[in-house]
Order: sequence, then C-alpha cells, then structure tokens
Amino acid sequence: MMKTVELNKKQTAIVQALEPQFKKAGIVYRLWVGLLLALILFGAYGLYKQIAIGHVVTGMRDNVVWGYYIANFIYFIGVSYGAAMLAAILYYFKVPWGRPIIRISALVAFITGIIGPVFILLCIGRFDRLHYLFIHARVQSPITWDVMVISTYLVGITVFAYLLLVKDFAILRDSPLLELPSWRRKLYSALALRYKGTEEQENQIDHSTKSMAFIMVPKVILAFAVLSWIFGMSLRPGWHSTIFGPAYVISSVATGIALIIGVMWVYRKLFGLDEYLTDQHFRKMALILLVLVAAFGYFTFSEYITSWYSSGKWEAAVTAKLLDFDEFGWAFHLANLFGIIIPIIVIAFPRLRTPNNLALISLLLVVAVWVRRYLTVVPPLETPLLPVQDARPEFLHYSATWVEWALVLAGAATFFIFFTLIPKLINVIPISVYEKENK
Amino acid sequence: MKRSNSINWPFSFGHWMLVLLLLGLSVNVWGQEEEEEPEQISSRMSLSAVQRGEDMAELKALARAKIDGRFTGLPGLEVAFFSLSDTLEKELGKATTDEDGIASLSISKSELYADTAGAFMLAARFDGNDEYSDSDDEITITAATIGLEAQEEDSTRTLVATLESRGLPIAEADVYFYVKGTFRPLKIGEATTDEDGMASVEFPAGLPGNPDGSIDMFVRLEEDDTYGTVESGVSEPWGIPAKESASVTRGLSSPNPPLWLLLTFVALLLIIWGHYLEVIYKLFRLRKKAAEN
Repeated sequence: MMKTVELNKKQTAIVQALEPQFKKAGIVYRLWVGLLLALILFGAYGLYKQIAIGHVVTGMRDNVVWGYYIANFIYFIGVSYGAAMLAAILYYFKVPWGRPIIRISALVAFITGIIGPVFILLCIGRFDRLHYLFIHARVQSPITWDVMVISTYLVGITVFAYLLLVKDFAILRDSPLLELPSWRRKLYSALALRYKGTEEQENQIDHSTKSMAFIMVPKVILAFAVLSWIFGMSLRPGWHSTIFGPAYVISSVATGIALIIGVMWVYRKLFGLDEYLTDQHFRKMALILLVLVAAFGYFTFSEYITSWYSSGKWEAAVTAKLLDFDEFGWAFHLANLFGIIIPIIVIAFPRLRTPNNLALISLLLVVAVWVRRYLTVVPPLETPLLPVQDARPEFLHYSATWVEWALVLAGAATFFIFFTLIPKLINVIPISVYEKENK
Repeated sequence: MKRSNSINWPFSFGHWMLVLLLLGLSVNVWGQEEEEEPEQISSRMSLSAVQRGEDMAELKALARAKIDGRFTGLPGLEVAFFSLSDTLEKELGKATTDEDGIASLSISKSELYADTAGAFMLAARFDGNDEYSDSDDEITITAATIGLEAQEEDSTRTLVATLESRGLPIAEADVYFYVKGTFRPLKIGEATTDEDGMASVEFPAGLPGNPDGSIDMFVRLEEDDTYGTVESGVSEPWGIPAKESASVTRGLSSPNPPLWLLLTFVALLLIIWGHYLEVIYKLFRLRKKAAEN
C-alpha cells in the first residue's frame, strides 16, 4: 500500500472542521462573487477607456503626476510586506500561539503583494516601454531598486506561501475524511510534490521554509526601505524626511496585522473556527497592533511637529495643507483619529479588547491608513518646490475621476474575491503545523 | 465554560458603513474648497507703467485684498488694460495675475491714445468674481525715453544716461544705474540729470560678468509722477568672465553608478536569488526522489 501522511488527533479535528469551508457555494456566496466580478468588469471598462483614450481620463496631470493608483500601490504592497513579516517571524520562531495565523498572514501577504504592483502598471502611461525598466535600468535609481526588490519579493513570498502549503496539500490529497471531487484530489496531488511525510522529506521542507522565513525579514525591511526612499530621497517637501521610511514600515506592518485580524474575524464567523482562532489569538494580535500603532502615532507627531516648527517655506506649506480644514484637514485628522487614537484606546483597555471590537477598529485602521497613503502622495505633489505660474487649476489640484475610482474599486474587489475563492481550495487553518502535537 | 457565539456589536452595521463612508468621502469632499458661497472680499487695483527703449511700454497691474488684516496679492484674476482719451476707450489686452497678484502687458506706445502734450491715459480693470469685488485704477504718464551709453576713456569707464520727453531734455531728475544679477539687480550708482537731460556715473572695476565677460547694465528713472518708470539697457564686455559652473561629480548623477553601490546591489540580488534557486531546486529534487523511491 502507498504510504500516506498520517494525522494526529488535532489534525484530524481540523480536517473534520473543514466541512463548512469546503461546502458547496450557496446563493449569498454566488451573489457576492457576482457583485465582485461586476466591480472588476467595471474596472476593466475603466482600464479600456484609459488605454484607448490615454491618461487624460484620470485626474493625474503634469504637476500632480501621482494619485489614487500610487496611493493604492504603496498601500497594498506595504500591507503585503507587513503580513509577510508577521508570517515569517511566527514561523521562524515557532511562536506556539501563532500557528493558526500563519496561513492567513501568508495569504494576506501574497494577495496584497499581487494587487499592489498592478497599480503601478495602471499608473504607467506607456505599457510598450515597460521593458525599458529592465533594459535601461540605472543601478543608481531608487526606481530600479524598487523594480528589483518588488519582483524579488514577489517570488519570495510565492515560494514561502507555497512551501507552507506543500504538506497540507499532501494531507488534503490523502485524507479519507474529505469528500472531494477527483479533479481536486489530482490538483492537490500535483501540488503536493509527492510528499509522503518521510523524515527526509519533512526535514527538507522544514529547512527550506525556515530559510525562506529567515531571509524574508531582512528582505522585507529592504523592500520597505527602498519604496520609502523613492519618496524620501527626492527633495520634495512632505517626502524628503528621514523618518519617512520607519513611519511607512511601522504603519504598513500595523495595517497588515489589522487586515489579518479582520480576515481572522470573518473566517472565524463564516467557517466556525472559534476553536482554532480563539479570543486569545485576537488579544495577542491586538497587543502587537497596539505597540505598532503607538509607534506610528509617535512617528507621525514627530514628523509633522518637526516640519511645522522649523522647516522651510514649502515643507511648512504641506503641513499647513494637512492641518487646514478647508484643504485636507478633515481627512488628516479623521485618519489619525481612526488609525491611531481609537485603536490605542480600544486595545489599551482589556474590557474593550473583544474580537468584535478589534475587528471593528482593524477595519477603521485599514481605511484610515489608506487615507494617510493618499495624503502622503497628493498634498506634497500639489505643493511643488517652485511656484507654478499660469498653470490650469487642474494641473495644480488633483481630483480622482470615475476611471480611477473604478480601478480602485476593482482592486478592492480583486482582494475580496481572492479571499472568497481561496478558502474553497485551501484550508485557512494550517494542518501540518500541528504535526508534533500528541505524537 | 461554554463560549457564546452571539455577536455583541458595540455598533450596528449601519454605523460601520456610515463611518467608512465618511472617512472615504473626507478625502475628496473635505479635500476641496467648501461649497458654501463665501462673502465677497473687496479688491484693490494699482496700475503702474514702465517705458522701455524707444517704443515699448509695460503695464503692470497689482491686484490686492485685505486678507487676515494684511494686503495680499491675488493670483489668477483676469485684468483688462485700456488706453483712454477724453472720449474714447480702447482695450489693449488682458492678462492674468501671477502668484504675487501682478498682471502685466507689454505694448507698443504707438498703439496708445496720446493727448496734445504727449500724455497717455491708461486704465486697468478687474470685473470681479464670486470671491472678490471689482476694482480698477487709472494713471496718466507722459511719453519719455532714456538713453544709455557706455563710454571708455583710458582706464575709466563711464555710463551716461540721456533723459528726454518728445525730443526735449528733462533736467533735475534722479536716475539710478544698475547691473543685472542672477536674482536681483545690483545698484552701482545714482545721479541727477543736468539741463541737457544727461547724468553719468563711473562704472566700478572688478564686477563679475557672464561667462563671455559681458555685463548687462540698465538705467532707470523710478516711479516719476509725470513719466512713470522709464528704463533702458546696454551690454558691454566690462566684467570678469564667470567660470563655468563646476560639473556635478556626485556618483548618482553620473552615467555609471559608484562601485560600492553596484557591488552592494549585485551582491544583494545574488544572495537572495541564489537562495531562491537553492530552495526551488530542492523542491524539484524532493519530487524526483519521491518518484525514485
């Protein structure tokens, strides 16, 4: 008889608990997927308009050359880096409570990592010159560093997420507890790389995964740093700041964790995973979030008090715009309220630290940080180093068009559709990580 | 203990959506000007004119308003310029105010109405908009020209200005001599015209010039009650040639990256991609070995 992967009690329980996750899709599920597909199609129509007519259909112009697309890019890729970092740390240090969260973290990292760079492509006017980024690369340009770092990161997170899955694919392939159509068994079989759970195979997978996790952390920090250097190394007011990088790292990791909390909450409710994603997991994640959000608050305060108090004319002009309620004041203050202050208050009081509350503040934080990303990109571009004379108002002020909205919504819909479809194929609670349990 | 599965929301679903919506909208709606119609602020116009060379005149209109207790230039306003006579009015053109609130228009003096004494009546007018009230200003200037001659005798260099109106010299007028600089003019002297309308200053030695050694000089009668501002210029090779600015040697701007940067870049990529290749190779081997067994 062919050898199959053996399961212990805990693992068997997880496989049995997969039923709600793998069950046939109901009407609500289908409607939801239909809605998301409609949004993606709407985005595709916007993209068609953008390609056919040109970037004039967006709100981006000579002066404000970046808008929603780049805000979305730095948002998603930042979240991806943050989630990847968490997954890698939880795996590498074998944090006992982190085991059920690794899969969700890796999924968040992988999915946002795919969506983020798409927005750069949307922002690029000439697709036909895309390969110039490689054939005419200047090693001294932060843009080149970013192209390399992002492609390197994407390969890394894909391999890492896959390595985390190989053993589970083997379990799904072999498990007699699951009633699966034959095409799925075949798919799992192909993806499991003939893994049978022999000691040698196990050691090899563990070693590879561990080394990928190990290299993930410095790689992610490098990737973060390169992206923030694109901004920080320019002389533009509002970007040229030494704290830009650290603030971006901290806020992105916080957003990644908030997103993971949100996904944990939804999956727990939908698939009845209370036994695996316990209140304790939410509280532990919240405490990490608290530290990060507090640091983000401090960095934000430090950045803006410095430029407000002492800096030159243009730097102060950006800060003034962010504080002025007739300009970006509402967005800035509300983003700080929902992204920093409320999360700190809710997490700081143990009584308030319930999974429902944490999911709510996570959602607020996820939106608030997106607003902060927008405020990172647009107000500095609306404040050029030299005064622009005799320019049309739309050159000086950015206002997103329906095309940009359509593509941003399509991006969000893609995110949701991944998270809706993937659990139909892959178990969200990893099974193999419990292999040492009860053995 | 049995865990409760019921959802204890501190907020309803509607609350969530409302908060989200507000937060999202804040980017666009609050990022822009308020919709409410603000009170109209009264604007103020000041017109001045510079007569340049033989025939040209530059009209400058400064639009200002008292904002937060301070007079501030108003950018982006459309100002129309007119030449007036006792009975006629001719629009000369329109210009938009710049960041400092100044709109300017250059025009040939031959296009202006002139009275028998050679005086031009000029006007600038802003018709008002939702934000600022209308305003205008009128000035009368008399045609005048100022000539500038650069003379060199032995080692003495002199600038001589001749101020005239309709062929007659203007005496007892203070004129100022400048050289042009990158950012602002440098005053090199002032003098009063004699009965022939002439005034002169000695040109100082040792001034830096353009790369070819030339210096752009001009003389100006400034904001005179009768003539307005009158100026003209001349260029002479009297300066010390400026050195070509030193080329930028920073490595990042050159076509080739500095060695340390290239090595770091390549090393990092090699380490990470080498590591990837090892892991991927092992994965393939895993599959192959399992098949062999």
